[in-house]
Amino acid sequence: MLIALGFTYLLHNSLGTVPPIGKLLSPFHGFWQNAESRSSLETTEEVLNIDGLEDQVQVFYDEMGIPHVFAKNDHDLYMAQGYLTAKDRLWQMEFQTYFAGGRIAELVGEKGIESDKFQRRMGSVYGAEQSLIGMGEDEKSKTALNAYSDGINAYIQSLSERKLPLEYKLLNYQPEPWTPMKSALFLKNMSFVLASGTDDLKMTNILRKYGKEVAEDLFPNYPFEESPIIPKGTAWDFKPLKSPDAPKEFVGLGSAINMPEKDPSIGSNNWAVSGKKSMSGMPILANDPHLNLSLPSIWYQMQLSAPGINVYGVTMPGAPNVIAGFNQNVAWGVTNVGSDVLDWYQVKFKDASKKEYFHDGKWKKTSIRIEKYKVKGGKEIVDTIYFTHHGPVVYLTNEKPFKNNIPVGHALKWIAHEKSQEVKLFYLLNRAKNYADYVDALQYMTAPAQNFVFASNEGDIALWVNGKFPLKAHLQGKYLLDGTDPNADWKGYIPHAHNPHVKNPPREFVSSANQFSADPTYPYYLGWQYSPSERGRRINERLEKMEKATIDSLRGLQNDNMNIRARRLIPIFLSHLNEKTVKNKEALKILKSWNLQNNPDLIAPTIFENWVKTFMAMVWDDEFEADLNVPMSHPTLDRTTQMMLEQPTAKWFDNVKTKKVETLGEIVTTSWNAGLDSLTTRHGALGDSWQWFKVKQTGIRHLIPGMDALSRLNIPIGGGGSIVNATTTRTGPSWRLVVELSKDGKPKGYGIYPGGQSGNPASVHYDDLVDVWAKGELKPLLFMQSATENTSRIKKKINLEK
Amino acid sequence: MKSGGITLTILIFLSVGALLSLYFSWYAFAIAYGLMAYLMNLQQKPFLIGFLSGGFMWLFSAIWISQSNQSSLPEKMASVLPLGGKTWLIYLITMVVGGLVGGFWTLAGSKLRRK
Repeated sequence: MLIALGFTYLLHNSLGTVPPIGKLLSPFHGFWQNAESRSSLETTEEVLNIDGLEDQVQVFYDEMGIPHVFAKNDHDLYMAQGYLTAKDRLWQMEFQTYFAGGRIAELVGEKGIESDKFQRRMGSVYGAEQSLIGMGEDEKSKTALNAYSDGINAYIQSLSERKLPLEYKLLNYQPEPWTPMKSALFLKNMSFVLASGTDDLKMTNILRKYGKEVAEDLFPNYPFEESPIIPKGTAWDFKPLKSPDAPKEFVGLGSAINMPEKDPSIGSNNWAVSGKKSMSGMPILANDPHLNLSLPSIWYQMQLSAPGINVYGVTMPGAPNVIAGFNQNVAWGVTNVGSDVLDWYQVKFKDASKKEYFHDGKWKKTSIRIEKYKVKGGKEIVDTIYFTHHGPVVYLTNEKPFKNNIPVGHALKWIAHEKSQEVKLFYLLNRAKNYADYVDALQYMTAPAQNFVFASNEGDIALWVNGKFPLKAHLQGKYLLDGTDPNADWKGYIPHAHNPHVKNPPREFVSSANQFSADPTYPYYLGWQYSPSERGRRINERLEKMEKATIDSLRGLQNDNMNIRARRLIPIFLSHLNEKTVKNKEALKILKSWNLQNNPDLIAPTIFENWVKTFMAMVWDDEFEADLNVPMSHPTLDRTTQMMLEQPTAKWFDNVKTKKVETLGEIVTTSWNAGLDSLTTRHGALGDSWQWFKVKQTGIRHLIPGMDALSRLNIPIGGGGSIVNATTTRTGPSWRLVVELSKDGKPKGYGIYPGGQSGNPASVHYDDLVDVWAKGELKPLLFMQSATENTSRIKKKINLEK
Repeated sequence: MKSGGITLTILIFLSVGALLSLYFSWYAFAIAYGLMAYLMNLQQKPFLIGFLSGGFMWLFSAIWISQSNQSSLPEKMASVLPLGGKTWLIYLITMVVGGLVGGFWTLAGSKLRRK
C-alpha cells in the first residue's frame, strides 16, 4: 500500500527539473492531450460562451490560423483579443511576465534568483507600477486593459487540467489570474529588451585609464560614415529650448568588478516610399523589426475590427491593440531608437545605514522599497532596494552585479521608470486616418523610443523619432555621472514637437535602421552612439535609385544580402595584406571573386566576417580587454575604418603586449592567417562546412532554454548583423511587412514572421511560417472589410457569445 | 481463476479505469484498481492484472489520440524527455508507467484484503 502511494506521489510531483512523470505521461491528462488535429478542409464553426461580453463577437480564422475579429464595441474587441491570444499563447504570455516581474525563481527555484533580483533592482516592477498609473489616467486605455485582462481570465477559467498548455505540464504549475499589471510588466519589459543598453561604466573605465582626449578620439560622437534617419538638410520646424548647464567635469570611480551591453544585432529596418517612387502611384511601407528569434514568436497576427476601427497587424501577447500594421487608411512600422535614456549616478551615502545621501550640498533621505521573492520549494527571500531621487541603487558597492556593465554603488535614472501611456498611443494609432492623427497618437509614447515610419492613402509619408527624451547637456551621461552634482540631473524632457521628424522629404522616401536619428545640426543631445550605419546606408542607397517600386521590389530590399562593410573594407585590407606570406591562397581567391552577397551557401561571407572579427580583436584587445575586472567598450569598426584610411600609422595598431612594434599591414596579414586557422579548427578544412549559414547557425529557440526539440535550428538563411537582411545566430527580422495603401481603403498587405500563430508545439501552426520566412517570401494578408465578406480563406469560425 | 477470468478482469479494469480517467485525476484509475481488487478479493496475479490493465489502457489511449490527430507531438516529446528522439520509447514508457501505477495499487488492494 505504501509503495503504491509513494510511487504515485513521486510520479505526481516534479523532482528538481524532472517533470511529474505520471501526470505528464497519462494519456488522459498529460502531454498526449495537447495533440491537435490538422485543420480539416471544410470550414468548421463553433460557439463559445464567455461571461462578461456585452454582445456577440465573430471570429474568423484564416489558413494560417490568424484570427479576424469583428466586435460591436471596444470592450468586446479587447476582451476577445485577450481571450483569443490566450487561447493560442497563454503559457508564453504568463511566462514573459514572470520573467519581467522578476519571478522566475518561483518556477525554477534558487537558480532564477539572481536574474529576478536584477530585474527588480533595475526597477521593472516599480516602472510597471508607474506605467499602470499612467495608463489608468485614460479611460479608453483602462477599458482596453481591463477587458483584455478579463478575456484572458475567461480563457484560463475555461481550461481543464488536461487542456493546460504543454509547458505547464512540463514545468508542473498552473496559470494564475491575469491582471492589467501583468500587461504593464510586459510592456515595461520591452524597455529592458530595447532601451537598457548601457556602456557608461565601460566608458568611464576608459576615461580613467586613457584620459578624456583618447576617449573622445576613439569613441567619437558621430560616425565617420553615416546616413542619418532624418535626411541631412531637413529644416527643423521648431525653436529649440536652451540646452541645460553641463555637469561639472567628473571622473567617476568606474568599477573594479566586472553587465547587459547593447546587443548590436537587435535592430530593425523600416521605410516608406511615396507615390512618386511607386508603380501604382500610392505609398508603400515596409518594416522588419529585428528581435530575438523565439518560439512561440514575440508576435501574434490579428485583425481587430469594431465600430471606429479596422486594423491588421502584429500584436504582442500580453498587451491590447496592434503594435505594428495597417488599417484602411494608414500604415506604420517601428524600429528602435538607440538614444541614451539610461544614466548612472555615483552615490555618496552618509554612512552604512544608507539612510541619507549627498546631493546639491545637502544630505537627503533615501527611500526604500522591499521586494519579496518566493522561491520554488517554499523559501522566501526579502530584498531591500535603496532609492535616491534619481532612482534605485541597483547594486551596493559590496555586491556582485548580475551583468558586467552595471556599476556598483550607482543610482539608476532610466526612462523606463516614468509614468507612461503606451496603450493610449496604440489605441489611437490603430484608429488613425491620416498624418495628423498619427502625430497626435505619437505624443503618448515614453519608452522604448521607436522610429515610427508612416504612410497614408492621402499620399503622405513620414517618420518620427518618437519617445520621451531627456533634455541633456551635450554628452551628459556618456560617462558615469556624479550623483552629488545637481547639474548632472536630468532637466526635464525635449518637447514632443521637437523630436526629430520628417514628412514628405524631397527624396520621396523615409527610412530608418537604428542609425543616428539626425546629423549634428539637430539642436539637442540624444546620445553619442547608435547602431552601425551600414543597414541604413544600404537601404538609402537602394531607395534613392529605386523607381516604380512595387511590393515585390521592397520585399527584395528586405532580403538584401549585400555586405557593404565588405565592399568598403576588402579593398583597404587587400592594400595592406602581404600576399606573399598569407596562408590558404584558395580562401583568398574565393574572397577576391566574391559578389559581396552574404548568401547562405557562399563561403566568402564566412571568410570575410571571420577576418574582420579577428582583425578587430587584434587591434583593440591588447588595450581594451587587458583586465576583465575593468570592462571597457571597444572602438567601433567605423572608427577603425577611419583610422586605417586617415591614420594608418596610429599607435593603436601596435600590439602593446609584444616587444615588437606591429604595423597595420602586419596586423591585417596576421589576422588573415589567424582567422583562417580558427575557422579550420572549428569547421575543418575549407569546403562546404564553411558555408555561411552553417557557420552562422541561425536558430529560433523555444523560450525555455535548451528545449531543442521544440526549436527550429540550423535554418538555411543568409544575411548577417550589418546586412539589411539582419539575420544572426539568435536574432533577425521578427516580423516582415510590406503594405501598399489604396484610396479605396483596401490596402494590400504582405507579411510573415518566423514562427506560427499557435504556441502549442503539437499544432501545425506552431512553426508553419518559418520555412516561408527563411526563403524570404511573404504571405498575402487577409484584410477583411466586414464580417460578411466572402472569402475562401476562412477555415474556422467561432462566435463568442455572452 | 482461469485465464479467461483474468482476461475478463483485465477488460473490466481497463474500461472502469478509462471511464474514471475521463472525469477524475490521472491516478483515479489506480485507486479504483486497489478498491476493486479489495472488493473482488482478487488474489490471483493481482500485480499482473493491474499492470496489464493500466498499461494497455494508457498505451491504447495514447495510440488512439495520436493516430486520430496525426500528431507530431510524441516525436517531439521523445526528444524533450531524454529518450534520444525514439518515438516508440515514449509509447513504451507510457505503458510501463500506467502499468506500474495500476499494478502497485491492485497489488495493494489485494494484500489489504488478505490480512
